[in-house]
Amino acid sequence: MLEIRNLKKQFDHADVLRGVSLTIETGEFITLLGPSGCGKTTTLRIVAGLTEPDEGSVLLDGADITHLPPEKRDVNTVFQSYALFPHMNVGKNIAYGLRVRGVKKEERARRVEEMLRLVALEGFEKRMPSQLSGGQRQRIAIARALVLGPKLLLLDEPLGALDLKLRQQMQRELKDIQKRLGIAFLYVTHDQEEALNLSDRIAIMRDGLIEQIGAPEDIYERPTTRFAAEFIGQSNFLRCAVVDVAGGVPVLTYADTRFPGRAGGPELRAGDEVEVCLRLERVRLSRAPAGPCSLPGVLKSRHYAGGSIRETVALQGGQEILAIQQSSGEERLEEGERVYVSWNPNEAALVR
Amino acid sequence: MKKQMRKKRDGAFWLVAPMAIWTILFVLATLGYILYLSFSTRAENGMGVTAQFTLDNYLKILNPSYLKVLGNSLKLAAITTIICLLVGYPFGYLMAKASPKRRAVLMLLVIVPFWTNALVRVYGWRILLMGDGPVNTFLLTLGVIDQPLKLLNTFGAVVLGMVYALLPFMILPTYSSVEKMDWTLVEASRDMGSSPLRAFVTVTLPLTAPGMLAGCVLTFVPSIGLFFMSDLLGGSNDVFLGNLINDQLLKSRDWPFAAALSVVMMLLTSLFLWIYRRAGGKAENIAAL
Repeated sequence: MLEIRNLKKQFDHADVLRGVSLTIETGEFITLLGPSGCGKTTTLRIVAGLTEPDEGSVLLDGADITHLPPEKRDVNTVFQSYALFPHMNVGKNIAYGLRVRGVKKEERARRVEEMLRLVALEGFEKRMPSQLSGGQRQRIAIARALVLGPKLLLLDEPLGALDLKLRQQMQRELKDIQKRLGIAFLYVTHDQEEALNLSDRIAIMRDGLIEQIGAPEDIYERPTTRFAAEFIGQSNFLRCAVVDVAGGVPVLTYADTRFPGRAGGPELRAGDEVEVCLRLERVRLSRAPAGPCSLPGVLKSRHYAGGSIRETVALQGGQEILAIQQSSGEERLEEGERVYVSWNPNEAALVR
Repeated sequence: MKKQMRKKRDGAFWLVAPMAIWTILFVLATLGYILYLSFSTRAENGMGVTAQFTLDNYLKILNPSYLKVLGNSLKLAAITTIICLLVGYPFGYLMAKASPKRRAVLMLLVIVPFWTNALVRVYGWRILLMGDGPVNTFLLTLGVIDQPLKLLNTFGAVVLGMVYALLPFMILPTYSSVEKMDWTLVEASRDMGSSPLRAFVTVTLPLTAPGMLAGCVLTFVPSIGLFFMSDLLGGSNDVFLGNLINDQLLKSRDWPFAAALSVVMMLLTSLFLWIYRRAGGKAENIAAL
């Protein structure tokens, strides 16, 4: 439905986008996730028509809209600051786009009411934006952007200004609205939690490029780069050398211990260096070695945190490994004890 | 406890005292004296006043020739304000949208003339507009005209001088209101289908209206009273309230009448300030008055 091809953009001779390509299907919820300055907002603004790309194109339903002004695009935006018109009441704010399009008064009133029902703020027509709470403003901004029935809704960190509890509630409501209307959402955030909860697919951006794109589970289980692995979830990165790649399963070594790595990762050759991404909650600690991937070390610290225990192990070889275990675990390990760190090789991606 | 409180209040009193004394002495006392004069009778010998209560000075203003002066003044003030708005708003807008470097240059252009005496600058305009002045010479040389135009001592010259003197008072408040604009609102308007013009009319204009309103008050109110502009640039028919007061005070020596005219002018000024406040204008936007 929306196709972005090789977008490039410079601001003051600094590369902001270096060739971003992306396709969005009808009804899909796609999140651009990345640190500030990675180009996610610029990408969104180019789709909205608020910024012109230096190179590349934007296609909506097959039609090239790269150089169309924002008012000629079937796309609407929810701005980070909400951008409600302070001199108009809620009803006029929502009806603004309808008015521009010359929709009749009765029809406008009907559509405004419908939108207010959608965001659960019936009867708020006469309020001024300054009389609303942050969460209410957020909903009005969404209603205003949806009233024109866009094919694609763009959302620029819409929940950034809300407190945690409200943010979680709004996440559920947003997802609900998106499912009910069946239109595509292109969502920008730097919050991994939000991205995981909402998205059908996540595009992780870094320095003006898309680093990895895929379903949340895909990215969590199979990160292709260390950056992607770091951005979603918490991990240890164990730097290993590749000993052998014959037979499809790479053989790795760390501090003279050999163990298998996961197949199907990046192209490897003997002698390469690679990092094993060990998710904190997938690391197991025990007194005896368990399975083919077990490395000896010493338990350095142990913090009881209610349902879970956070433990730090110093491996023979120097690196420290952080592990989160269920506190119901059978063995109670003591600080200073010799332990083994083990993992299932199929749950530990190899990244570079 | 009580004693301490009182001490505190005394301290506050002494802090405010210089300001209070200044205001009483130089503002309230003089205003009171003008009010007193306006109800007094002119002395027999024409010099000074006698303390005899009368309303004649105010009734005299109702004389058609004086009412015409009043009407002239309001007309001049209105024309000046409208031209200032038409020139000043775009200027302030462009200044707010310009790059920081360009903005500094434009700001300098607005402010530097302030550093020269206003009277000197008006004399400058006299020279420019004279029959054999640069403007006429230029137009004659180009062949646009074959007779020198009468530019000086006209109503137009007075308007020009007024606009010239008061333009900064329109530019600065409009600039500051455009500068404070949240441009995301304009983007939101475009996003919802507005053309650039429609976005300007429905979003930028209403949100910068307070600056415009302040600018209008700041130009309209002083232009009722500026008298030297018409003295230097106007013709013999261009008599305005300011000139009339000046003449009555210094030439005709009719102090009571001059005082009555001054009171009327102050009432007019106050009326416009009151209208401004009623329209929702903020006092701090026109603090320069």
